[in-house]
Amino acid sequence: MRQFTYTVYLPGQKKTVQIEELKFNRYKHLVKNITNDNDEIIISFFDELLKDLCIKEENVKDYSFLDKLILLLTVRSVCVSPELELTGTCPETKNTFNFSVKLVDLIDRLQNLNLPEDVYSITKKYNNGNLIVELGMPSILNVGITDLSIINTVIRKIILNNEDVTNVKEEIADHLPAAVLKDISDYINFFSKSLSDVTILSVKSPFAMNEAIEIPLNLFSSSIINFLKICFKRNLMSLYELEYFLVNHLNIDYELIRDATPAELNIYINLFKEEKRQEKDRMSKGNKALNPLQP
Amino acid sequence: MSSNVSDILKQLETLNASAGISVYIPSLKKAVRFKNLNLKQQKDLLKSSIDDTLTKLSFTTKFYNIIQENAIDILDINKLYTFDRSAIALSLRANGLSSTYNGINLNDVITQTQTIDISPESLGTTLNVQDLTVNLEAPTLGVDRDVNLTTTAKLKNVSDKDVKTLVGELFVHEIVKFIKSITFKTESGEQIVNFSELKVDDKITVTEQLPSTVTGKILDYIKSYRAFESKFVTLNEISVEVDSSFFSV
Repeated sequence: MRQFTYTVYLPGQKKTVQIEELKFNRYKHLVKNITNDNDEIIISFFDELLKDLCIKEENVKDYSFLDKLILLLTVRSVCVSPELELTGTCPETKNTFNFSVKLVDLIDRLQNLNLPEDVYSITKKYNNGNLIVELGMPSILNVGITDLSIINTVIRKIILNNEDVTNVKEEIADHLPAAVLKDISDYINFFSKSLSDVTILSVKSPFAMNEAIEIPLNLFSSSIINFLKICFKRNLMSLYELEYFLVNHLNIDYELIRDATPAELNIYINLFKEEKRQEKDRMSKGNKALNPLQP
Repeated sequence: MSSNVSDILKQLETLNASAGISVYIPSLKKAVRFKNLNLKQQKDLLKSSIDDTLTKLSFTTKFYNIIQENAIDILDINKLYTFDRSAIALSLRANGLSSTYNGINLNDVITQTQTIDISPESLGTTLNVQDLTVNLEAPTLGVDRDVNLTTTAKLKNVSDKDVKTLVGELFVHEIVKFIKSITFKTESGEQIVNFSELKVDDKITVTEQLPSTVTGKILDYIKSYRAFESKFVTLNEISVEVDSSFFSV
């Protein structure tokens, strides 16, 4: 049976990709990992998740961090909830306030950053063109400032003597001329500078007009992975309570719960609440009929 | 056409060798062909900047291996001097990465190194103190590496914060690098200790027994040699520090 899919445009790939649904069971595992708060494991979980959900994409693991961010925010928006509800602290007054963000607006902004083309990808030639290396945005969601693993993720394509040898990139990268590193360094500086003013989120404080809470699109400050954790975080206990309620009170088959999206389960809960509300209304009307003196 | 990894690595090796550079070696007074640095070598050098804090031990050991791996022409690197290392580093940096470093044109530094006079006095001297004759020689890369490996092993468990231990070890090890032989004059004749025949630990043991008057004079020579060595990385009185950070981009 063909699964339901939804789509999103990725500026790095310059194409629209299909995404399958994030099912409750997988979401629960994600929440467990986020609760455990090991960034390395969470990043690896996100990569595996995208590989499984973007089934038609051969190498989604190598997509740029920006494309991955757009994919994950789309998954969050479609399968969990289209809004992100947050509590912020005013930078000036330190008062807390609640606000919500429409994820579709964030996705739209990230898709239309109007960055120069060579921020997404740039081609460098070495040894009279016998070696061509294409550099592009890193594919990892978080990079330590001294983390040399960024080097391999920036190399997107290698053409050696007119042959595309990108498929053995990991094995041969160390043997490339050191001049590649200089170009990688220049490229990273260039794209970091190009993204320096871009924020994932910017919310004005209601307590101080000139102050805003901002989350920068900075690969080197953990801001991206931290934002994704916020997007998918949920009280783990509430997920168990939800399962318990759906199985024991609504008698929903566990297989259906496991394979539904968190957003779908929310629909069941809302239907139940609506049913209870109508029941309460009916009872209230019934009581009125029995007691003509009740206003 | 589809190649396997070893074929691709051979192609890259050939490409790197064909793009080899000519490096002037001051002690040999001639140019030798070298392959440019590759990504792994540069990453190793960058990593050594994390290993090296107070010392340059990790850098010098890694750079010794690079000289050995990248020399295309036949070269006995153990007989090169430490100032040759600086000259090679300048050339590899200038050709492989960028010829400008901290506003200095490295090619200008390289050109002027070819005019430096390497006199026998620069490469060694003899000290006569009381009944001792100490022959000193500028350290070759072979001696430098051997002593550095011993120092690294000894300092493995010493924290950078333990500056006293660190400086004490480095002091003796630095002296050892410069001693070629020691002759003890006794009533029965002369006893010559040739350092090239000793293990590094034995060299250290002998050196530690030298009177402070002798070590003081050795330090004077080391000082004058280091001043001579710095000429190979200096232009218009501005010196380039050749360590792992020199290869950062």
